[in-house]
Amino acid sequence: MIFKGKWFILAVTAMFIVVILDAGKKYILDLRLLNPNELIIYTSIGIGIFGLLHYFCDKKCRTLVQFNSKIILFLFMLALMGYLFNVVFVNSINLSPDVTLVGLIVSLNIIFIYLISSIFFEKSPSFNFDVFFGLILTLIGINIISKNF
Amino acid sequence: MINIYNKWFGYSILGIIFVCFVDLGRKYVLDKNMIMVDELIIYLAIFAGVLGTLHFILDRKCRYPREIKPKSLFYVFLLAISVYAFNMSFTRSIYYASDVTWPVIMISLAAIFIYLYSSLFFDDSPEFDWKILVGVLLTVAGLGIISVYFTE
Repeated sequence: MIFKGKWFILAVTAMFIVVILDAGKKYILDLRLLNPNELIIYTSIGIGIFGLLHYFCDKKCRTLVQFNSKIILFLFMLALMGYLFNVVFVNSINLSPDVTLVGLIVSLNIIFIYLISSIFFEKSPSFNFDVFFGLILTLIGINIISKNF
Repeated sequence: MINIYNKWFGYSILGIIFVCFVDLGRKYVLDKNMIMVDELIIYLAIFAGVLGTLHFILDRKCRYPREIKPKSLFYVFLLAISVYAFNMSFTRSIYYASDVTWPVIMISLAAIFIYLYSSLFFDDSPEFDWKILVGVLLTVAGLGIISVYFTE
């Protein structure tokens, strides 16, 4: 059984936080308290402030000059991708009739993550019919949702 | 039927691409021991803040905080805390997990809770429908099977 251990508890915690996050974003946008860009901007600035606070509280955290430039570039690219994800995700939940649809489509990333990690990462799983069955089940689920909406 | 020509659908597809980069990238730097977990969380957050500030400067329509209701700003503050808490949990989770796929499948379970919550409490969301819930459950079950039968 793979679903145990520290990572599992942390992932379940993250899952519940995602519910609050996605529902919260949709709530703010539905009530027009902020426009999508303002939501993205102020949330990011808030995250940056928390990052700085974390930096000052964590004595073990190295300063940027202690990293090589390759890692800094990699971090910046990751942050940029995260920011772009935030931009498209917030706009998508703003335009969609229900936040669930966006969450479902984005959750399909697991298939791509599996494919990419199996090709480029050291642990490479081979083709499995059970996995294929799971994929069919997922597509049926998506189809049921799309036809009944 | 979902209209795939709707803007939100296009944004969702783009979201898949970006989230793949972010999740795989995090796992890559952690696997290679390029950086510690907390350092990754801290610097990604700081860079996000820098990008947010740049976006603020470039977006002429964005209101200043003093022009926004305190209630809205409070919600944004809560969201920022949630994002940061999510980053801490999720980044640590992918660090401890043998494969980045496991934590991602757990996160996808959030779709069920988001659906239940939004259909029950949000005015703009469609009414609760058992068929849709069955669809959501099948989707998540499928994703679960995919993850469980991945051979390492």
